[in-house]
Amino acid sequence: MSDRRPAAEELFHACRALPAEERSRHLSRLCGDDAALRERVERLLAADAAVAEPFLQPRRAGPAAKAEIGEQPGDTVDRYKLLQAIGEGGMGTVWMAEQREPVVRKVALKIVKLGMDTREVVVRFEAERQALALMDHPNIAKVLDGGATATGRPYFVMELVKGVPITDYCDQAKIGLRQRLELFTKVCEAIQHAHHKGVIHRDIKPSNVLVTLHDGVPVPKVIDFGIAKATSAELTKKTLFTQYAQILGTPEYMAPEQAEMSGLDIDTRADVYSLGVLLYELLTGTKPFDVKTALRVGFQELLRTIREDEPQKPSTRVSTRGTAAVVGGRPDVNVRAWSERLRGDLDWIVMKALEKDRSRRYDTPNGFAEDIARFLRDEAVLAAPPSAGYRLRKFVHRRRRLVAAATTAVLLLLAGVVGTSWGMVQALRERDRTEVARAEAQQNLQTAQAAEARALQSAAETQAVAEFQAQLLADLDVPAMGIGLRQALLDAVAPGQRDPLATSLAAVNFTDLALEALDANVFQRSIRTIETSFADQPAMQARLLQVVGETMRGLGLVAPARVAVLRALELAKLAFGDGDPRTLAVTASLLGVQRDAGEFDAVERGSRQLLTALEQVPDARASDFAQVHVLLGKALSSSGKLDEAVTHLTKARDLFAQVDGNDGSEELSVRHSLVVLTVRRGQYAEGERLARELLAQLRRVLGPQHDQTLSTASVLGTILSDTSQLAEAEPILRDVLDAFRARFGDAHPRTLHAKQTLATILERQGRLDEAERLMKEAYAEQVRVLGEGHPETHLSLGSLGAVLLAGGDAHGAEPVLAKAVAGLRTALGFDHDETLTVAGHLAGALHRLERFEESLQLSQAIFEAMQRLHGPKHPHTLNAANNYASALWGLGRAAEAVPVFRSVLPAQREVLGPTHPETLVTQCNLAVNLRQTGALGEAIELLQQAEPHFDDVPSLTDMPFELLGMLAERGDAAAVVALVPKLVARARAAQAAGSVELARDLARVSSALLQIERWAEAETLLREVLPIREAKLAGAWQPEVSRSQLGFALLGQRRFAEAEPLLVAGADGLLQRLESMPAGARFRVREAVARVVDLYAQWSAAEPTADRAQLATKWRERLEALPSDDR
Amino acid sequence: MVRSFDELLQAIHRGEAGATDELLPLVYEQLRALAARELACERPGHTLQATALVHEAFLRLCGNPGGRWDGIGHFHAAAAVSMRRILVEAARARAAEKRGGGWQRVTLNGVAAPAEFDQDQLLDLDAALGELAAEDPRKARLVELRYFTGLELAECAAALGVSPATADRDWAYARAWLFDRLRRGHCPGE
Repeated sequence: MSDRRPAAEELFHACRALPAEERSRHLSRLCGDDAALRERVERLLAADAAVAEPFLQPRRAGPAAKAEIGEQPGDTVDRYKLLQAIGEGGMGTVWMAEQREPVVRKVALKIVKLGMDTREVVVRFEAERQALALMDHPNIAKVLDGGATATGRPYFVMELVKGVPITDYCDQAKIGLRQRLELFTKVCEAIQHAHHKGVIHRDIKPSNVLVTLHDGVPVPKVIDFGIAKATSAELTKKTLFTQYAQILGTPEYMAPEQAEMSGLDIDTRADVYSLGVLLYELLTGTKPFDVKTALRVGFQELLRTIREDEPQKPSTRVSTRGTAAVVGGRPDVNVRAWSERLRGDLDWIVMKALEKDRSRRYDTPNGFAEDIARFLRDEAVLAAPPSAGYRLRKFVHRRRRLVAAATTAVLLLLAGVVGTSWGMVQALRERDRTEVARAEAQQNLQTAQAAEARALQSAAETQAVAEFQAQLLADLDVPAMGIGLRQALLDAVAPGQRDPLATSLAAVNFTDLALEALDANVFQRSIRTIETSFADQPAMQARLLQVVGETMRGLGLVAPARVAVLRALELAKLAFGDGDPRTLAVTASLLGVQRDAGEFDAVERGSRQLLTALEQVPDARASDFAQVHVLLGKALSSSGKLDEAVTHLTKARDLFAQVDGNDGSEELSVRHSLVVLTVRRGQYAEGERLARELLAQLRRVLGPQHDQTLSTASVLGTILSDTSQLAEAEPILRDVLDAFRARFGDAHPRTLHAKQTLATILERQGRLDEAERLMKEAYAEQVRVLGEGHPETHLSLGSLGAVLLAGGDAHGAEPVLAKAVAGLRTALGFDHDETLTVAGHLAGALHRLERFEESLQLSQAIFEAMQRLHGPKHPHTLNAANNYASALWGLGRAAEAVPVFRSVLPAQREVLGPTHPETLVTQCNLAVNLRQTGALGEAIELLQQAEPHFDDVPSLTDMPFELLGMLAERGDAAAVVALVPKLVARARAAQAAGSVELARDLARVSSALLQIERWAEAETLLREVLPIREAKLAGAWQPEVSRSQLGFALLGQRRFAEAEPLLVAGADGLLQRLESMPAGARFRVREAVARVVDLYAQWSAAEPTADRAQLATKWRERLEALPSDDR
Repeated sequence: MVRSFDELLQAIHRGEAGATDELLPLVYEQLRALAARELACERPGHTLQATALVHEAFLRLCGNPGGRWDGIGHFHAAAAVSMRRILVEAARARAAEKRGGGWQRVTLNGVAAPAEFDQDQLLDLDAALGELAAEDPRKARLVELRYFTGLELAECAAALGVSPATADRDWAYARAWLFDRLRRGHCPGE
């Protein structure tokens, strides 16, 4: 053999050089009687001739056209007629063009210079297109279209803007500082809008920000959105081989991270930087860096400058260079005065936008614009350096929310302590006054009644003071306090010791620490004071203890809260008696504590008793009932009794509505819980409707930045994400994230949680790199802020693992998830929802890595834990059961999987509802497993039930074909016929015309049609399938199968003469390929040969000839000679 | 000690034994990360832009575009092996997923298939390439370089140290050989 291979190769090359007709003769001469060699060479030559162009074509785009081909006015590009060139830039030429259809209008058409990889640019543009279409903002010029010209150059079509660059406009119009800032703010708003729609501009510069006049009012328009993105991959690639400067027309506006040329890690903050450069130019008339000087040294020097050098402050630049550039040399503008106006706030604002480290820039264009607005309103700006004096001024002038987390925490803590002691002094003073009054009363009976009245009033005042303090404390942001404490600790040591200290602090949970400090220093002291000072006033003591207990509960100090509330209850019973409304109110507080401790059964029992007790109270208020219904509803919801939970929450909502009117905050909060509950029951459409309604009202009533508003927005975002309305979900969740960032800073748990939610949406949109980046940021931040051992940190690591897994990187995800599960197991135990959720992802990763046994064991453990934790009917338990059964199926153990699916399904129907996606997936899983165990009838029944919802659930896309196959297998002709048109339409909608995938789907439909003998319909489809397969799978066995099937469809119609060539060629073709066919497909050969036998048998019966009888015999012999196959 | 990309290229250039083995995992990791991103972002059926990925990987690894170029052939060889492995792994993962049950909560997003080959065919190509390598390793490496990293024939010739004419002949033969092998062999299942 070994000496024949080179010979074959030589002959191959020799023959390849010859014209086809001479090859045979040449081969005969050279191969002699070596038939095997000849056959081998002939096969190779045949393959060489048959090899279609795309086969093994390098995976790269075609080379760009070699010569520059200029367009001329009057030329047509697709449906656009070029009118006149209106601009020439580094990237290409801009034309004014006329669009003819669907509407006649003038547009701007930008044709990119040669040297860009057209296909890639167009593909990237297409990818961006959906996002671009979502942008609708008066200050954004819409990008309408994109494509490639006949000469292979990418082009983009935009709304035509007749304007001048913003810098030119400002200079020509000689407008002042305030107007410049106002104009610039509009640009920020436009960019912010784009960011909300998921579009980063990447190339903000004056020539892309044009100003037009509308009725004399200047309106900025940002152009070229999406174009930098489409062409940026090219930028990275070309840097390898071509000159940099040629591509980078405007490095002045490039963010340092863009200057690193990695071209990858660009986010919205790169736009913030470019906006900063733009503002610098608007304020000083110069750019932050002198590119020409740097370029004289070299391109690397330029990049280094952008990455490393600090630009001059705007005020310094103006005082050294003058304002000539800024205001077009207006003689009335004083250089010194202009510089003075920039000094301080505007310097800080611009320099913050120009930070090298993007995490120190404004997070969003909005943040940037808001700071400018603060400057314009003479308020303190966020960009100001943290000097004590400035901070203090700010604290005096601004609400405390604006103060950095550390300051807030410390001040609030102080306010709490001082407030408490002040309150106590007041209370004691009141008590003394009462005693004095009593003493007086003994002396003077006339004043006694007045004194008694004053004493009562004092008691009420004391209570009001206590409640006011409780309110203050309830507003405490404990996580922020924790972060502040940690930062204060780090700031207290020398800079050199900070890193080692941070390392040793990594394991400390500062939120818990802050809570402990609060508990020990504020609450326990308050409780002791209450007990000693009001020892002889059990009623007052009970009220105050209840208030303190509720405050502690609200902050998460559940165990000490329980102690306080239990004591309050004891005192209340003593003071008021068991059935007194005041005692019942303390009972309600205790139920709240129990709910937070996860004792749902106790809450359920207790609140039912409480409702009965309240009914005995003659003047019980509607809001008292409502509060208990809320407690009961939430407890029921937590234990998975969803329908009953809805009843009680609805009741609570109606009661609150009676009390507070429609805009009462308690009613709004219950409606929020109802939204969450509705979604948990799988009623997404209803949940979405309720959420939208509620959100609109919350925005109106409480304002867009209110906690409650943000929570509901976050829930709406999640609903939209779960129902695949990702494009709408994303901006909502970005807003939520921005709001939390602005309020709590980057490190706050709520910000991090919002970040994770957003990352999940991005993950589902397939934007895994951004999702992964966000998750990694969140994780790193949590390690820094909360320490590595904190449950939140483990959870965050788990989410990161889930994203990696979703990205198909099971290898990378598995160790991450395993680490997260181990950490959560230590911190929270295995029988905990969070641990089990991450463990579920780990089981999925093991499944993907084909470590089926491990996956099965873990799935089983999760399932058992969920049963212990939530009981058999809880949605989480059911979900775990489904995963466990799927793992069984993965190991081919359908018979064992069936009973598990069977037990899950009715429970899911009951709890989640019959049309919830999870219920439907279980139902289909059961059907598929049943078919494998032979229970075809039941399988069909299940799939038919689920059929109306196949399109709603992405993981069920294969089910329609599965159902069709089952129906055909049972011979249910009517059902198959009814289903076929839908499936054909589905296939045509989902698959590209002429694709192998379309052929595959249509072939599946035609197989079913043949099985039920609907010959004509099968024929039509197979006539479409066969040419596709002949073209795309030339030489393979699949076209032969389709050929034989087409013949069979004709035979069924007794069109013998037409059927014969197809059936014979198909059978022959398959017989020739028998050896090379996969074993599982060999039954097709037998089938095809049997059809030929049928053909001649039927034909000779209908129109007998000796020939046909003989052929029937011949083919029958061939059939019998075939090896039997397994099927 | 883990050496940097630049150090490794220099070591290879000096002819140090074993340096090539150290290069491969470095290139593989980089490319795998890039490919995962690329495969996940693009819509199904979209061609993986191998050339872009390979160039990007190079940029990321060498950090400094003005750096050394001596070892580019070695880099390309490592990149070709890596790309092949990545695509085959993606195809396997996909195949494994097809066998899987209806896993919930964990979204088992598949990676997109490259345009010319579906995942099963890619696995067949991988197997066939293995057979070709047993018979003629140089041709198999040529296919790797050309198909999986998108190098031009001239660049392949340089990387393999053969003349362009030889590369041309090898390419024609390897293509016919593989096409024939795949046509006879395991085409995608019905």
